[in-house]
Amino acid sequence: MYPLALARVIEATDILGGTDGILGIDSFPNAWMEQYFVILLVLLFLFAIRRLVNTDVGLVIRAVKDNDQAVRASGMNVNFYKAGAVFIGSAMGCLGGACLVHIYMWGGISLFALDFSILPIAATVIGGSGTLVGPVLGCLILVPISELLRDFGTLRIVFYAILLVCFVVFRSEGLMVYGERKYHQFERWVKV
Amino acid sequence: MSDQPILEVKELTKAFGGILALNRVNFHLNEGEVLGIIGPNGSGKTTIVNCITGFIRPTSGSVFFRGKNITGKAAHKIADMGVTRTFQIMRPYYSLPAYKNLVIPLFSPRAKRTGGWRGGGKLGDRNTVGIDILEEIGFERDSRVPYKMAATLPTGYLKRLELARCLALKPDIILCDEVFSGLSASEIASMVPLIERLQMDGITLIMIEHRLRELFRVANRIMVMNFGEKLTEGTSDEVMANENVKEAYFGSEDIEEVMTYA
Repeated sequence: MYPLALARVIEATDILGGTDGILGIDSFPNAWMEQYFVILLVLLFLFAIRRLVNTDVGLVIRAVKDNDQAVRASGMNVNFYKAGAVFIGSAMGCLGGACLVHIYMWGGISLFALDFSILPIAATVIGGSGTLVGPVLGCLILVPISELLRDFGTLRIVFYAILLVCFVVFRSEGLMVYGERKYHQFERWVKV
Repeated sequence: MSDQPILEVKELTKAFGGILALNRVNFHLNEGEVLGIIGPNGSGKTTIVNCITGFIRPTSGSVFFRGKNITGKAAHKIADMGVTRTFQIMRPYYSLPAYKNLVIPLFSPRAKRTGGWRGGGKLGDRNTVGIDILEEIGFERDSRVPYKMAATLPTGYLKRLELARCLALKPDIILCDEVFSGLSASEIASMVPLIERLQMDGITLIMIEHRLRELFRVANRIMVMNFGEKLTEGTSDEVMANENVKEAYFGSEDIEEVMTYA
């Protein structure tokens, strides 16, 4: 909601380069850096968040997701932990955005149009919400597919949408959650 | 302690739209006693709990805890003061093992202050304290029940887990919302001594129950609700002798006959 409102504000007040966006941003020093720095960042964040969710604070955050009423009944301020989680998430998102702008050497409203902004959510849906690796897995699936579908031109968005709908209908829990469930069932599997 | 009641509810009213779920309810709770609240379905028992613990804001009236007005305070602040509750529909963290369920209340400011149940002002390792609380409340340690996922535990254990979550805060008052319901007779038989022990440890309890026989064993006083109003209050014998109560609960049937099913 707020990103949409912010776009209108930028258009109206002409701050941050207005509708043209911010031009002339330096790129990364070399292609190597552009590639591996971002990958390194992803791995670093994955590791950091993995550490976080296994501490007691992380446990509370997971508990809020599971059942916020019980957390409130335990005498803890749910809003504080929710705000903290959003803060951590958006901090990582901001750094990701900064990298993106440096790669594109340009930042503006149309860069973050709806079809791009939907990507993180779509990746989470496909990978599985509530898991760590899920969204990364979702990105690794979605972005290549999106690039492959470029051959279809404008039909790309149609195929993309069909894929998303299929995932929502058939694997609405997400791949990682599905995989985890199957993994836990594995030891009890009987051949029929 | 003075003779001031630990919890006092004055003219508590809650309206959901045009329906008065609570209509000017007055009662008090003395330190160390067990108050049983009974009443037919929809008579506002759970609404009382929700209003006292701050999960919903009462329309009017006030709640005093140790003489301090706690009406309309945020739920986590009231829990922080020591007024805790269980949920009628159990709300464990299903994706966590049972003992990790207790790490969360043990992480709260109150538990850090008090050291948790049996903790003398100092909180040890949260996992250990959690397992100790669970053992005390009836999770067999050797059969590894505390390490099982909450989603796999049966109702009896989940009800105990609800109580354990309250105990982790080292509460002054626990409001038990139907801890006996949904349990088998033998499970209830093992819960009753637990409640009695909590009372001996100085915890004040409000128990909302439909299992009258077990409730009468543990409760010092009984309050009867009907349609959001307090019908009567007194010892179990007094309450059962009351004509209004018979009518509200059982219609015009013979009470002796119905008690055999209760």
